[in-house]
Amino acid sequence: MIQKEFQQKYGGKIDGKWLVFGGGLNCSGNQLTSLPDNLKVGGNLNCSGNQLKFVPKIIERIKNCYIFPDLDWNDSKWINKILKDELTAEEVFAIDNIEHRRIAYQYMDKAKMKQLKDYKILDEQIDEKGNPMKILSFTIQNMKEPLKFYNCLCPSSKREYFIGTEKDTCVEAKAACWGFSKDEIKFVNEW
Amino acid sequence: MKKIKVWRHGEILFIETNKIPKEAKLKKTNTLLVGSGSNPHTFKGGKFYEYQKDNLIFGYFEAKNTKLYHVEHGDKKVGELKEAKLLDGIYELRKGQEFINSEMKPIVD
Repeated sequence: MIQKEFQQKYGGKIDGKWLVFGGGLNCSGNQLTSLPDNLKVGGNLNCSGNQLKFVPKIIERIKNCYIFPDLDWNDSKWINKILKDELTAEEVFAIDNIEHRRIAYQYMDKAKMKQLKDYKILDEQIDEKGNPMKILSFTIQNMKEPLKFYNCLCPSSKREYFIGTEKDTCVEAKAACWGFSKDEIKFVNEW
Repeated sequence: MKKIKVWRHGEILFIETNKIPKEAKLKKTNTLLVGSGSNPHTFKGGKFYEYQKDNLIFGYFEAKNTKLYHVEHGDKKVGELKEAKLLDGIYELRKGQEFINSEMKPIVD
């Protein structure tokens, strides 16, 4: 979509060199592949649920910026690496923020998992909500001990998460997330 | 050994307990936690008491006709949010942790 079409569709105004939206801009759930790089948004920007391949650096000036559903994040450098699938699997699992890690994995070509050295699935189970869970293990450069992640799905959103763990089984890893051993707690319900 | 009953709401664990420490402070709020993604865990009905211990426990909750709200976590959609019902009772609140760089740390989200 060219800038003029974007302006007409979403009601922006040209102010000098800027395409300006005085309040928030919600252009979510369309077929957009790009955003205008002279965009100025006075309020929130929600452009999740599109086919974006790239975001302009100007999103860093937008306080509440939703490129991905329900995730307020405006780091254009990292978002573009994710959208373009430029991260290695090791880089994805090295991301500190669990939601950013989730999104990076979602956009990653899963064939890259084969690049992980000594990749193993140590345990595989079905949780109380009928969703699969696993313990993944792989080695990264210069580290003696393998990294392990507890891979699970949120029962509400069905989003896939990878949570760092030192445990070898899903049940132990799940309890350890909360400072418990597996025999101490019983999950009555989860959302 | 009798297991402790727990309920998970996103990255918050509600742990059944029978008392609130006297050091815990009642807060006038309906927000339990806000993640870095800016999606708060809020509630209607009930009282939140702030209490910090070991970077793991962040409060206590006295549930009474309580409904929990969040953009992603709940049983049914109510407007823009999802709603979950929590049984009446007293709960210890913990935030999820992960093992990163050889130590357990609060999950960053």
